[in-house]
Amino acid sequence: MDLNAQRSPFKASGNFTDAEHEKLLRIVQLNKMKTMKLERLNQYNNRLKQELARERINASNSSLMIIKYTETTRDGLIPELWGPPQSRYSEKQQVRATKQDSRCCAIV
Amino acid sequence: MDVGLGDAYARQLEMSNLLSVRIQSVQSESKQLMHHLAKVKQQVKDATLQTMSGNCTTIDRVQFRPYRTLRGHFNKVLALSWHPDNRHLATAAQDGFLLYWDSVTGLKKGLIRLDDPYVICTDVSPNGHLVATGGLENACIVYKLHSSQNAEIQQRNSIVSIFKGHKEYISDLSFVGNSQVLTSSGDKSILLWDMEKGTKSVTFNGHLGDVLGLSMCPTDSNLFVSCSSDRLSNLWDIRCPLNRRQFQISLTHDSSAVKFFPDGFSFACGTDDGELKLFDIRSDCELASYPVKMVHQHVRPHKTEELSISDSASSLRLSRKSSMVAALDNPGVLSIDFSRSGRLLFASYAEFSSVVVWDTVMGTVVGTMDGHRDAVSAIKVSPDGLGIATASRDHTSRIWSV
Repeated sequence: MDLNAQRSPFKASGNFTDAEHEKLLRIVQLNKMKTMKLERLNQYNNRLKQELARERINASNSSLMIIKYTETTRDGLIPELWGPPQSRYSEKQQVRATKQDSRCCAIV
Repeated sequence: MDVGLGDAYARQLEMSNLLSVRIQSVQSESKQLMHHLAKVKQQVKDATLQTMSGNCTTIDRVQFRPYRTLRGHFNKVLALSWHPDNRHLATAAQDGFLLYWDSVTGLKKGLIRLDDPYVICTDVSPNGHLVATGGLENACIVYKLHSSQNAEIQQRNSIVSIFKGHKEYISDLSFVGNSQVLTSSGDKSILLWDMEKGTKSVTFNGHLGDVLGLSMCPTDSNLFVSCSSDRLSNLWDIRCPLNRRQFQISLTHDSSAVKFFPDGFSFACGTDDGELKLFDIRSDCELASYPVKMVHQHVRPHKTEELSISDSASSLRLSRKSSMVAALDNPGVLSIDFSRSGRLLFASYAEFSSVVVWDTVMGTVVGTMDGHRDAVSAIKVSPDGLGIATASRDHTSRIWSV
């Protein structure tokens, strides 16, 4: 109890009963929590307002922009649309040098 | 009762009532705002990519042929990264090695013995001099990428930086310029590391679950998108880590893979139930979805043959069990990438050994890439868009082209 009394902002007012003091402490605590809750809710609302204020274009428009992008960017992996690409993978390169005809050397 | 105390109590009581009233009013305001927001979002969503694709030329079928099979790893190849020269690539496997390949000849050009054998992700720097790796040991390690044949020289001076700070595994990473690395981790955070300072420079907190993937914006190096097991995808700006934009990817499943569309205004996200979705940043909504049930018509799960033979011998049953565990490990979408124009979307799934090729615009499956004998853990299209590289759990990597 002494500890609580020390923590209380009203300890100067002196001679009151423990029960009343407890009650006061409880409501002070409660108010603190409520203030915090209010703060959090306000922050949340601000976020929602920000999100509402964001400019959005219609999905139909952004779809068209995506389609335009796919139609104007050359893509070497779709020969049906862009023709066969000039690629380093067009032909399989020979890794090892072709073996020379390794017949026995002719000893003269 | 003490007068001072009574007074104070009355004042507190009054304040309490006042606060309650204000809380109620703010709560009703946020309800209204949410309602309004939902309405606005609904209004914006007036079409999907598929409904707008009427004038588009259709693609019947795309076929890719395997160009090279890169053999050399002795365990699951888990990560893959192209060199900016479009010809070379680095693969990292659970055998604890990173191999550096020439994709045209199929020959190994270099080897790095990794400090952390449980590697999950790699990335080659834009100038091609460095490679960063991250994995289960919570550290991001940057190595010099040599092409020297002398193994001793490579061993001695290949580590450039070791970044320790994450409390959990590193799930994905990406270079930002040549001296910064962005890492996402199971500790719910994303960190930006600076190689010149030798320490982290920015922390991005905000995800409520493991961050499972990230993708840099191809047109603006300050933007990146991340996906997480909290089922949300966040869009971040490196300059202001406190702000983020959230996208709800799924209501039920973790989002496991994310990739920016090449135009930098949309991104695709894959979830653990195998669904793929395309989101647009300008419209703030979902534009297209690529359901896994459409994949089932084209490819069959690679576990089926094991199931069919497993009832005879007990030893085989064991292998079936372990493969089931592997599938449970991370079901659904494993890796995604776009072709250069974004028209094709390549996706690999945990339950299929084939890579599925989606037509992004039409929302149809236009092809598959078959050949691997186990799930494909990573798929990347080369920067110039001509080659495709896949890394698989069957210990090999492959290069594909048209």
